[in-house]
Amino acid sequence: MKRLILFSVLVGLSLTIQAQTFKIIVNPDNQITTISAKDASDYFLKKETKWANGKTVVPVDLSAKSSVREDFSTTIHGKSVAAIKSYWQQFVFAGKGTPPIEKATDAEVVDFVKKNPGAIGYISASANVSGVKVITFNN
Amino acid sequence: MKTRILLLTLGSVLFLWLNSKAQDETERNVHVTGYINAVGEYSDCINLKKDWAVGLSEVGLLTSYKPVEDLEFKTTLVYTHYTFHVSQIFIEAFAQYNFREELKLGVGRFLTPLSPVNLYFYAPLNPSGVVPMLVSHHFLFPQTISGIHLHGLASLAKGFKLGYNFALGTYPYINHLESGVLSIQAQEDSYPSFGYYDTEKDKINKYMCGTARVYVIFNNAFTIGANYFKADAQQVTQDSLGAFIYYPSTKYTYGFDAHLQVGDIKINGEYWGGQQQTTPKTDALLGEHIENNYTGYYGEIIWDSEVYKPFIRYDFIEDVNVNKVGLPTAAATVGIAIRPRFETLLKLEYKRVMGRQITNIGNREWKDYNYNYAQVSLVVSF
Repeated sequence: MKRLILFSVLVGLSLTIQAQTFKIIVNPDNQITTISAKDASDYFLKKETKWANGKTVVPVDLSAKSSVREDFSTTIHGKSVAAIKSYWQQFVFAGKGTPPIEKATDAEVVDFVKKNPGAIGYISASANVSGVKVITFNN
Repeated sequence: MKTRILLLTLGSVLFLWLNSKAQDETERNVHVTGYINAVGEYSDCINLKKDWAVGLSEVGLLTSYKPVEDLEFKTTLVYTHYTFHVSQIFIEAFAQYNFREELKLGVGRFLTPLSPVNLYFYAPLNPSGVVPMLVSHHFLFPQTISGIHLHGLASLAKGFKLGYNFALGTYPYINHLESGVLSIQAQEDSYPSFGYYDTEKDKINKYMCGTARVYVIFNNAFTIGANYFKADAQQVTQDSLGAFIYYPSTKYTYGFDAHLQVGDIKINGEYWGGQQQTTPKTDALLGEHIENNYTGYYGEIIWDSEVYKPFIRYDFIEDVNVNKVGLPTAAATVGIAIRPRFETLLKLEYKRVMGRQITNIGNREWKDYNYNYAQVSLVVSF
């Protein structure tokens, strides 16, 4: 029984650790401190395009090959990167716009968010976040 | 010489302006995507020259370019083996200035901005390999319009958006736009009785039209829209010697659409109606005028999961109804789309077409005309 409890705790712990492989970041000028998974998803999918202060939301993605993006996608959107690419294909053909810009590395995402007041991005949990603000998210 | 200097000057000014406004990479300024769709089809419709075929259904290529943040150029080229004129390949070719989310102005050629079901034309966006008949027959609205397009989407309250679309321009009078490889799609009603409904002359005429659409979105999950299409048109008939006669006409159509997404379940439905009428004139053949009434609707449920998307659909069209002589046609479709990865989409489906056929036009004798249709479609995207 003890082994079962220990195993459950370890599984739970590993899932928690897995869910925290990324951090969501915004420009330091942004007043936001927390965000729900649904709101984050809506911003990254351009379903919502304005922050509460009226500024335009500028999402930035990591490359589709990034494992951090896969984690972000399943945690925030509840869908795989492939499913999100299908969504963007629909978006583009419908003339609603284009997918967010993609950056290859955490450093490039941080740099982009630093330069754009309306930007929101995500990076790996271990990345250097100087010059940007990390916000917490809840499911 | 003066003209050349003027053009060079204007070109230079445009170049400098675009460079001065070069965007700061807040989003992709070039986007390219496309697909190839190959199909295998079978039908026991007795009027076909062959009952099965395998071949290329269509090839699509979309490019969009944003030289500056608020200006977008978009071109969508789609080739099908029913393409009879190069202009048909240009499904969309427009420039659009985005003043703000609530106000966008486009000029060029674009998909008729009415019901979203018009987008089903692009194979990767449709879990079915077959579009509803109200789309493929194009009596209710044309596939494309060339002209001016004004549209926008405003967020009025949390979870409540209001959108609009207005367009003014010309459209090619192309009805029963075929797809697939068996020449049966878009010919479900007229094919058995008349063969190709359109003549070459149908295919080159262009007429003025205007469209209007207003829609609301609740919580990004439920959308309802109202649509209106008004246009000049033509009515074709035959004289006693069998020669085609074309009469100027006007047409209007209207439609309502609703789309609901709850979790992985998507429900779409639309109803359209309308009428085309020849311009009143005294004519021994015509009498007062010829009146053609239209009705079309469809409803579908899609299980929109990541990899497997099974669906069922029922659709109906009556677009050949001249002076109360009609050919109502319904179709029930069941199928599944499988997308194991973004690049590969496999569709399997079965459709039962239930129509009526005029067996003796003079005495207007009718019989039910039912047949089966099955399709396998492989769409490869990038």
